[in-house]
Amino acid sequence: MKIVTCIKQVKDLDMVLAKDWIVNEESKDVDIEYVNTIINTYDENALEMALRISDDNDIQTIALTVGDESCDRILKKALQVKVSGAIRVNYNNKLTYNPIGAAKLIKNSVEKIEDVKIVMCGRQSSEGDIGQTGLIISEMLGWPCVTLVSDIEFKDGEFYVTHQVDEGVETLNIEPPFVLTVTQSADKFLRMATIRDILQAKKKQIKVWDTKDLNINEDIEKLREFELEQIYIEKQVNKCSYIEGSTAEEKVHKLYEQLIKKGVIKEKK
Amino acid sequence: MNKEMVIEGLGKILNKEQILTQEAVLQEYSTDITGLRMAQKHFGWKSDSLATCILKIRSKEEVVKVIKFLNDEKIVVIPRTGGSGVCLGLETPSESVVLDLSEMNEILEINEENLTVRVQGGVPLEVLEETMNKRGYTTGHFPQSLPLAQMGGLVATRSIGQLSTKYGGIEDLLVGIEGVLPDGELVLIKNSPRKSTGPDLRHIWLGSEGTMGVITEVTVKIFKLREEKWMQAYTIDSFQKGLQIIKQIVQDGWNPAVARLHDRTEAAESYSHFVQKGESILLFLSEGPKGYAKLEGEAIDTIAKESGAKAIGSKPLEIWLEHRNDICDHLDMYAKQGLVADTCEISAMWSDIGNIYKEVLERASKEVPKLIAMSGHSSHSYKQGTNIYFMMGAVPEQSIEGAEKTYNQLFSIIMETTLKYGGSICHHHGVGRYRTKWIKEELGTSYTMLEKIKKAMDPNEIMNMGVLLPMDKA
Repeated sequence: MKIVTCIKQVKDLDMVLAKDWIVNEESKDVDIEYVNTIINTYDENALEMALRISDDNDIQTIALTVGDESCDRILKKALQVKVSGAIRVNYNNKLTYNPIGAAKLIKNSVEKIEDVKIVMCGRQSSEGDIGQTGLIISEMLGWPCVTLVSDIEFKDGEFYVTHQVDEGVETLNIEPPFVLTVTQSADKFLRMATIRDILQAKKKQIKVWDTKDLNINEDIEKLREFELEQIYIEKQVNKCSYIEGSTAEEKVHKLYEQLIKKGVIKEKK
Repeated sequence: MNKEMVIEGLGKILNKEQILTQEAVLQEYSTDITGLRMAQKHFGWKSDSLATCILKIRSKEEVVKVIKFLNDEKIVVIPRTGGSGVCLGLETPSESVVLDLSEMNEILEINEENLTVRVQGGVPLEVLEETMNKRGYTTGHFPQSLPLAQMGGLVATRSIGQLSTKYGGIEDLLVGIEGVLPDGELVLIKNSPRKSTGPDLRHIWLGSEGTMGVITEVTVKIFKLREEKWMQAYTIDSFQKGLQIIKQIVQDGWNPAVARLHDRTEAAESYSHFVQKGESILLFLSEGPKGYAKLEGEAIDTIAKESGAKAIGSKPLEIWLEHRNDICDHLDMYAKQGLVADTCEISAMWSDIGNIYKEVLERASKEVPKLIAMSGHSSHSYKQGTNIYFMMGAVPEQSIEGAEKTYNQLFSIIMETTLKYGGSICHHHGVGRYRTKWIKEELGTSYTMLEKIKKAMDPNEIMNMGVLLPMDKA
């Protein structure tokens, strides 16, 4: 059995300097060329979850990305943490606002790889925050989709998937095939490669497929249903007031009164 | 005296709410943020040696009374402020008493004529710096622990800031100091620009790590904020060449506030857009009165370029300035992955530092089976030498003991190599309890001086025993 984990190369937005959040009105973009590229954080969580299942079971994890040659960097990282295979769908256009196009490329890749029973991807990427690709993949494959997954376990031949719901979290016992969109959880940091792992990964190959290999004849660009109208920087207004008081009790009481006054909490009857 | 009697005795000096005895609190205060414990906590480590109580101290008078009581009863005392120690210096021996001075946090006097500020030991450095900035001044002290550290602890650990090449370490910034000796006597070393009145007694406090008494107040220098800055980053094809560039800059008499050299691993990790494979990165920042930064910057630029460095603009500096203390927000990030990770800073003369760096990296890659990284940067330079701040990580056997074994292996490589080349085993983190196993070799024949000073200052052996001097001989 194989798990395909979809990973996307994005810019590390945490690294962008506060003063550099300036929108170029013409290109509708922000110049963040100088920051490092990383694996989209939710995708990293998905990859780690998949690897943990592979660690203890006869299940292979395949890392898949879509993009140009520069995206090999994240696949090399995936190989360093010992995925069974790494595939790049060679596609040079930006897919940020084209989730149907991205899903089409992924769906056909999944079908080309044999014996795939699970597709995992991050809930959304930090670039567009669209959050649709995973759901569209499941629709195209005709597989069920569980969203906002924070954990997956494989026990006695069965999968248990924990995900967030309005009321809290819920664990489902589901049969493959299925698609999961993964959210963050405190203990799913992607493992780090040792120097030995890095050296060994250099010997491994990345498979590169293009649209022809995937039997796609249609123009992926034409699947785009979104056009970016505008981006803008939301102005943050921070207001801070200090609560004075000679004791902690007095301060807490004043805070309590303030919160009631502002309607944040209701007074206890 | 049993625990109940100790608490009862302290209850006659302090209010009840100042004496904390809840197990969760004692557990929290039982250690500091040393990488070893972070990793071990991931595998379930808990201290089995808890203090009797934590005292929330509010005044120097309380310190005097409490210390007198504890000295009479021969109870070990752990003074503590921000808790950002990284060498196990704050670990609590069982039945010890922790003096938490973080509520002594008043800025007492800002003297704009003498450019000094007098503060209580628990004033957070970040608050002090912000307060000074509003008045047009800076403390000139920017350790990575800035978001956590407090003034008493900074003096007690011989802290240093990221702009030290210009402003110096805390030893250069400390003007006067007040503290309580182990017998409960309150002593003050008055402010003075410089004097010749015997040994500089401030140095008993500087780096004392709680072993010589409790620091209650410090007076430190402040500096006029400078608007004029010059910033430039360079790439260089070898770390050793980078060291030579910094050496020439400081030996020619320049003191750029920031003079950093990050090796190829760190350069690729943090500045991948700017560096080619294998390159190290140099970061320089100059600041000063009108005209100074430009003048110094031009000199640095000439030296760097003549030595083969390539200018790559100021952006890497800007990134570093904005993100330099981010680690404080996610200290346990590596531990959560079951890894051992920490930093270790050493110093050596220019003639030896390059060899230490090279050999540490070679040994680590040969000897540590699951090494993730061993990298280094030079960040505090002097005319005679510099420091290397090693950053290390490895996958240990997944247990409390396994984490300790791997941690010890990584640390020992750095300590042994440093001592082999005559370097010093701590540049600015202090000795704590962890590095005492190398302190005799570090101090050589001068070790006896430290022993004798400690014995004279603290005959009842109550002040943070096990720190600086290993327990067996202390």
